Amino acid sequence: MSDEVQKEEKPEGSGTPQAGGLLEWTEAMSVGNDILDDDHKTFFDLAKIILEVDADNGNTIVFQSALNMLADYVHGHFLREEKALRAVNYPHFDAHEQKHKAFRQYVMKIVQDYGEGRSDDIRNLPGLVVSWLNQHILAEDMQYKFWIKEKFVDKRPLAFLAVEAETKF
Amino acid sequence: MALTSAFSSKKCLVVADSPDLARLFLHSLRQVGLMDGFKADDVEEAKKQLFKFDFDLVICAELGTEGFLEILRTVRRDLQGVRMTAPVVCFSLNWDGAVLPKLRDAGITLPAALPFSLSSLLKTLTRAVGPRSFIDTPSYRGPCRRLRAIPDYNGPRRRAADSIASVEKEKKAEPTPKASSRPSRQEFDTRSVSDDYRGGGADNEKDVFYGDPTMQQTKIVIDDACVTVGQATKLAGALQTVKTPGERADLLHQIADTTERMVNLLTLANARIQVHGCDDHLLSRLGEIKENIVSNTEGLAEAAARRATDYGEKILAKEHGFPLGAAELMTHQITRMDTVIQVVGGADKLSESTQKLVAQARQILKKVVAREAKITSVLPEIDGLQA
Repeated sequence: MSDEVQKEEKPEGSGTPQAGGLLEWTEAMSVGNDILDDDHKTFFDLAKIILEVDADNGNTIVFQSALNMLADYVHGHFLREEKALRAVNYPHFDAHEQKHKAFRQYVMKIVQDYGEGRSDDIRNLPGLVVSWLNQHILAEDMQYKFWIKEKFVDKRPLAFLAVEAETKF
Repeated sequence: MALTSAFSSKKCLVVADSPDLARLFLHSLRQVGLMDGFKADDVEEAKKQLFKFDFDLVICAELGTEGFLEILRTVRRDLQGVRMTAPVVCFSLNWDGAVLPKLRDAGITLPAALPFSLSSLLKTLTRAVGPRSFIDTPSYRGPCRRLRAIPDYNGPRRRAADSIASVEKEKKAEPTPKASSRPSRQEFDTRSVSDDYRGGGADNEKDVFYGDPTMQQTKIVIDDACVTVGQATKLAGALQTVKTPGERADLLHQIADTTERMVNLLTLANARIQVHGCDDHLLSRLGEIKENIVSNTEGLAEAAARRATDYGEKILAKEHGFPLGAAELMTHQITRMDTVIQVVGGADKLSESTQKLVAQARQILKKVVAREAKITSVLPEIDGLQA
């Protein structure tokens, strides 16, 4: 994959962990809703697992599973957020949804590439996820902090939303 | 598939050969809603935990055939009570066609593929914890393997329709009734109890179809009881015509076996009706059977009494010495006779001659019991001498 193409595919805010991404969720990232906060924490936890798993040491099953999980998390969490934002007529919904879409496509492409044996970009994935999350949560999600209403947030575990998202995306 | 959200109260054990894989499973289980997850790094540790704690679900990943089998043996054979019914899901990257039957026979709930995803894990676990009968027999302990449920399956209805169609065809092609020693299941559906005893035709009988499997089973039990009663009645009738003692002994033996089966079937039919209920048609069939038994019990009770009497007289005549345990065997024969008498409502229903035979059998039993007690009373001394 050339640098040029990679630049085009990378969603806004993504980069390496060293480029400004914290590996831990902090209180400053709270969007004021426990369920959405838990989703964000889960992303960080999974990024850590992907970072720590040695994919070259017979752990390809773990690595592939973790990537599948990441894809499901992305689908499930974004669906949860979008349902809640749509319910309150969030004014920046379209822009927010576009950012979700770009990141979703990016993650899906990496997962697909890895599944097909093209894993050039895979080592950077945890860093990219963490960086994107840091940027997205602090810059984008914070904007809906005072819009979100608990009663509109789907309270089911993330896996259920991931299955629901399968039929939507 | 209806996904279940009832994982929150479940306790799960994850056994994986790789700590990373176990960690990923535990992480994923939380996103399924299963917060109470534990891990074991190897089969031995898993066994210790299985004996120590109650788990609602066991996940095994990449343990190899022996590892999977060991966990399954521990859960299904070594654990007791409800713990042995815990669903066991085995994950592997490479499933082998030769391994799956072994795991199936060892009671695996589901084999699943690696790598997994969050959604695939949720679907797998939903299937694993879904309502499914648990089979506990000496040769197999595990979930019921009948997984296929076809919502619009209408096999029995189709067969009933076929049976009506085939009966109509037979009527057209072959107007004279066929002679058959034992009617087929299909024929049962169009025959009444009285046909079996009285040789009547089935033309006027209405076939009743039971869509409910429980009712179908009750019908089968009553049908079998019906046939057995017919057989017992015929055998009792034949008893009057036998000439040689050998034939008579053989016939008595057959009557005793048939009677025992008949009583068991009637008891089962009664129990099923008490638990599940039944419609008027089945109830009237059962009533007919009982009525026929009452009218034919004379021969059955007589046969049972004669059998016990013959045996007792031989014992008392010391034809072959006095076999220890004779009293117990004869008591069993008398119990069988009493069961037949109870089925028809007591000894009062019997004729005077049969009542005499029954009383004679009881007297002989008393004598045999007393004789055996006398003989066995000296046995402790013999034991003492040997000691």
